[in-house]
Amino acid sequence: MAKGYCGKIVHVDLGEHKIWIEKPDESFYRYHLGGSSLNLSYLLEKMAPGIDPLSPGNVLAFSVGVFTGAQVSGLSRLTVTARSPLTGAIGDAQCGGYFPAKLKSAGFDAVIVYGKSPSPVYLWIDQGKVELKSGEHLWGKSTGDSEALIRKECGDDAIDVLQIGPGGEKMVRFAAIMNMCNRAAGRTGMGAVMGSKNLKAIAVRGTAKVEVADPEALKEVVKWGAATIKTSGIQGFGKYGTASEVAKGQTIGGLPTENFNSGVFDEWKALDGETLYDTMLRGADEGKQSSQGRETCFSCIVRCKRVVELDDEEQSLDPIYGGPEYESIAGLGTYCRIGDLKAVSKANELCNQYGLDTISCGATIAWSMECFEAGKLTTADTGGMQIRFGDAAVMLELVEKIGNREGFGDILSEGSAAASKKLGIGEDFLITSKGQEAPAHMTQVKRGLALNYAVNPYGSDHMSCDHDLAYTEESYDAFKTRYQSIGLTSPTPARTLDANKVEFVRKTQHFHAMMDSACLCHFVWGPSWQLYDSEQMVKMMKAITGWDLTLEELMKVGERRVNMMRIFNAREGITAESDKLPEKFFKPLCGGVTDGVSVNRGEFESAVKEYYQQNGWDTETGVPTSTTLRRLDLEWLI
Amino acid sequence: MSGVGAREKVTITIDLHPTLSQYGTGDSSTMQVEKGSSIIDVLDRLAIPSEIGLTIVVNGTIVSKNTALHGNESLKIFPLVGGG
Repeated sequence: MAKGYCGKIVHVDLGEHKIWIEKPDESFYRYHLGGSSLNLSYLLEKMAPGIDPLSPGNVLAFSVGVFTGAQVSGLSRLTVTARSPLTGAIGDAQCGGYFPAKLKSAGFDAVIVYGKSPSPVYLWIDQGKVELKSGEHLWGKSTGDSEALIRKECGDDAIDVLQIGPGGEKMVRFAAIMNMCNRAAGRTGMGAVMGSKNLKAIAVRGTAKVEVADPEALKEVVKWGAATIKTSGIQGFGKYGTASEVAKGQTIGGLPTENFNSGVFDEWKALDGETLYDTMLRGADEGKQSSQGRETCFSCIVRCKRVVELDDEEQSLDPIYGGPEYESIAGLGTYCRIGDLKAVSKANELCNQYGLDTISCGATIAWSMECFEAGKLTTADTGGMQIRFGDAAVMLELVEKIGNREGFGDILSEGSAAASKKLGIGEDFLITSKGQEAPAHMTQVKRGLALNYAVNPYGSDHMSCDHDLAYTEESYDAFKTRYQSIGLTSPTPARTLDANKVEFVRKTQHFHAMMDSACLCHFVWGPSWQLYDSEQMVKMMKAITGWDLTLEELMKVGERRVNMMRIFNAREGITAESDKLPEKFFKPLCGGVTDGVSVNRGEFESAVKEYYQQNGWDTETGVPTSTTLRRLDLEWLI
Repeated sequence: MSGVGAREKVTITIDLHPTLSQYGTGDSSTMQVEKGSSIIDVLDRLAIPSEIGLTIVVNGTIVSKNTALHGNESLKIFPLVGGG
């Protein structure tokens, strides 16, 4: 057997409270590499089409990668997959931290969950042993309180807990699954699926060291990373976190403001990474924020995670809930035209306590603000609340109402698209694709994302392909060797959506899809600006498993994952008609350097057709053809 | 007396993103450059490694590092690192 993976998958039938262990052979692990691809194989095999995502028939799959747990930066990631209650399409989300490595150390590669428990439970995985324990005393608790209770009950503060908060319990359609109380498998509502099953948490204790095939070769990969980070843009990124995107977005007119009506926000400086670092990180008042205000994931040298701590007359912030990423700052801040970093950080904390996706939460609130400002919503609809852009107090109140499914929050907890349909208003103000709200990278300045948001199988998503700015004539030199290794040789302007841009989106989608299966962090590993390039990636993978993987084989794993998702969606009746952008993105932006800029509809529609063609899919339906499925060793889906 | 071929000096403003602060002098700084020299010359003087992909914005427009400078440009320089 190759090294790196455990060769054991836990299956749990919550209805019967039955647990069994599967031991797939080596070819299974090599075919999937774990993560998203592995999860999809169970969903496609075990689920009939038409299952309600919040019913017991939905299969909820958690898995790590074959490489997870080895002591190299950027390998401790977990993927969760199920049918999404937000979109009705495939749902898929990742998180990092220490839980993924611990699951591997506890002896397992994946947990596949079926059915619904008659009462709340949690799964306890302890050094190879698996059991279900009552979770009734945890139900209703915040993630912080629940984690503390589980650790006390199991007698170990080092236990890692993957869980839902009250938001998932109440099946908020964009509920997240949290670990460490601050790492979120945020998108597509996987937390709601977990809540629908009465599964509060998976707790894990594992201390076994993951065996690798060639420890010396792996040490070389680690050394390469340590040497390279010094002259890599990643070093500064690690210091200021993803929040450093705020300044860049503002400068290029791509900082989504006022529900994507504008690409510039005059209060941007109050929210940017430098301000966060200087004023809000734990230890900032003593100049010790680099050591006290930054955290990392298992074995990772980048240290990009934020920790905020505050206790003043305006706000209190508990460091257990981490600190805001760029997406959270945008969703809860710039989307709502709120330039108050304390309030945004508090909202981020609330989302982590309740277990809510900060992007969909902020975007749904911003949608309701635009509706109210336009007179489409009144205080009669909102239970007396005046919901306006710029009102931080209202934004915070709405986050809690959503988390509790209370009052107007109950409607918003369905997501903006469903709320719009239910109320019969505000369709023009939506920023959704397949019902998932757009993240904070604007399609108007990154046209490749216009294509990706529309065609991505799990809805609008910014972590499933590379972004346009890395593939322009101006930037190409820096990443030429890396991009050439996957056949990308024709850089094109960021605001263009020609056939070269389609090829860029498609090939980097395959790379990112492979990483979501291998469970690699997209900041550490990737096709361009990331710390490690594909050459080092292949070395890492061989050093861990002993497999002679090639980049071509890896890209095929990624392309397979995209195609498996398209087939899953097609079975649910989700095809080309759903590969759409919100109408708002075809309208001109207002203000700043992108005043008047919009996505070109004709160019976009041509790009979608070109995308289908390049992928070997039916150009009318966007469904993979049998020929393509055979090429990808997906005959079992024909 | 000027030497043969000596070029006029002009002033530009440089705003380095904080993630590149180890290469600059902090907040916006001014630099004297030869008129017609390129942004590459500026990056060399700042000793920013060529491995770091950059987005360079001049007066709101993304430009190539081969762009020639004529004076009074305001350069904003960011690393090409994505955000999540």
